[in-house]
Amino acid sequence: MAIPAFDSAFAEVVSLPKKEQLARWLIKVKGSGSVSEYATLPDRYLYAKIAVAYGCPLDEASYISQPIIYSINAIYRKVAASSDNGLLFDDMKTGLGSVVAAIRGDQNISDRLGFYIDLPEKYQLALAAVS
Amino acid sequence: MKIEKPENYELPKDVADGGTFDELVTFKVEGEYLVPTMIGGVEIVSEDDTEESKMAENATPEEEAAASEMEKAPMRGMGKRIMGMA
Repeated sequence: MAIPAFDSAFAEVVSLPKKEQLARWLIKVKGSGSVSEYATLPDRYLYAKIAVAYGCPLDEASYISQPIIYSINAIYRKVAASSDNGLLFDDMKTGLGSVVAAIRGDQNISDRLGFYIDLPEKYQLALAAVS
Repeated sequence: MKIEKPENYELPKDVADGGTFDELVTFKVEGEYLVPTMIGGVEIVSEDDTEESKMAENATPEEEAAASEMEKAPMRGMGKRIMGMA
């Protein structure tokens, strides 16, 4: 079944530079903002803002002061409604793939989770930004 | 051809979020395996695990300048380093 509306949005975002993909993800979660407002920031700042936009427990400065993987873990716990503390993931590809799987509700289906984790980063970020 | 939208009609949620997994991902059969070839209508091209795929945390000078501008705003200052997660 073709899904033209999604396909069109996904194709647009997957071709963007990484920072613009992150900015799109942030804007989707926040519900407001512009790509130009965020796309010049370092990745760590963008992930921190995304974590805060999802309602993660620490403030933005705290996430900024930590490695990106801490923000990824916080986002996962929020999106997957996981109560685990500490680091669930220690590498970005697994963490980001797991976040995308959770956004799509597929985090508990192992072969699908593996698919999202194996996806190249640009597809992971595009899915996060448009799903 | 256009079809008049029924009253209170809403697009199914799947249309907006990429659909089910089977709708989102296209596979080809290779022996006993299914190999994903497309996602959301876009061909999946593997990236070599070099520069682009590394999620470097080192900011460029331009990024640091942008971040510095952001930090001038209230509530944007760097907080204390927190090693654990709440």
